[in-house]
Amino acid sequence: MHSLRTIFPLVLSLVAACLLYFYYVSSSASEVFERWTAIISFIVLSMVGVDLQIHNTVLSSTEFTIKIIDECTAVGPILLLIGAIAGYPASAMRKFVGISAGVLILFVLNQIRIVNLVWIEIHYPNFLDFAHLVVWQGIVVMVAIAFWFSWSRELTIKK
Amino acid sequence: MLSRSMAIVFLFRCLVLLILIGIVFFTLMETYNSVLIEISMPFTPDSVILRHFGSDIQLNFGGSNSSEILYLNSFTLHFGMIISFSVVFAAVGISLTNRIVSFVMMFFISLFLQVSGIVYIAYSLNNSRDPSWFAVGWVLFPAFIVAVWSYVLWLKKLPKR
Repeated sequence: MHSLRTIFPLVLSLVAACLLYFYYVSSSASEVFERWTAIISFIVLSMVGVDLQIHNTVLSSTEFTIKIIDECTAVGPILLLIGAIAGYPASAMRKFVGISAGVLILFVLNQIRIVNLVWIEIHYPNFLDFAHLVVWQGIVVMVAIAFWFSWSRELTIKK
Repeated sequence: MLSRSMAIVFLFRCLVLLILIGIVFFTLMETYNSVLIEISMPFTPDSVILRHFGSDIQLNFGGSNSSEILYLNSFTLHFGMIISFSVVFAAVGISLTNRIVSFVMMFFISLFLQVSGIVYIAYSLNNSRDPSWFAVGWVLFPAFIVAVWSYVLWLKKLPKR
């Protein structure tokens, strides 16, 4: 019974996160996050020496053109992680710490992902789809899940 | 729950398997896509024709939007299956029976979601609606299913240390 009491709110919270993401991708808020992600990616790529221009959410150079869309932002995995942490039995303070750390990790990982994908686009363009849609997508999902497990394990140990 | 060493072994295995299973899928993509097309066809509107286009699935709208063609990237469509298989095979400390049962379960859940995704896109675009749920499904459903499986069928069954 205890596990049912844990699992039910967790699943409910994850479903709520999926619904929230659905409304997010259908709203104008997604454009704001796309623009932010494009600007930050532009800054990071310029810092690592890539010569490029930015037009709204499009990053381009002589070698590539990429458009930042909803799925390029870290919002989806972040919402799911927030759902998983919010639905797990823990104090508000622990949830706050978990969410803050998780958001930061996923945000940084997403920027690393974009920089790496641009590098792949320049040097190994044939592998871009595979790296983009399978490898990096999988890494983001695994990191989000592993972070949640380690956060919930810390709680179990402290109890 | 997982100890730190088990978590590292799991993440390493998962990353390797993600690449290997991805490569296997790449070689099987066209055959598997034919199966998906065959299963999805009876559920899609009559005005939509599904067919192969290399490794993509092509949705051809022959109705009022006769000139409209959509290409569905196979990696996008198969990502959920690839990540769920990787996690099930990479899981540390589960029995062979549990692994096989989980693998079969993940296969049928993924197949159901893939067919649903194709049918949903066909209906959405046929009715000139934005298929927003597909973006949610592609990004979040695999993570959701893998997280629930890991929690309920894997981590809960691990001995407490």
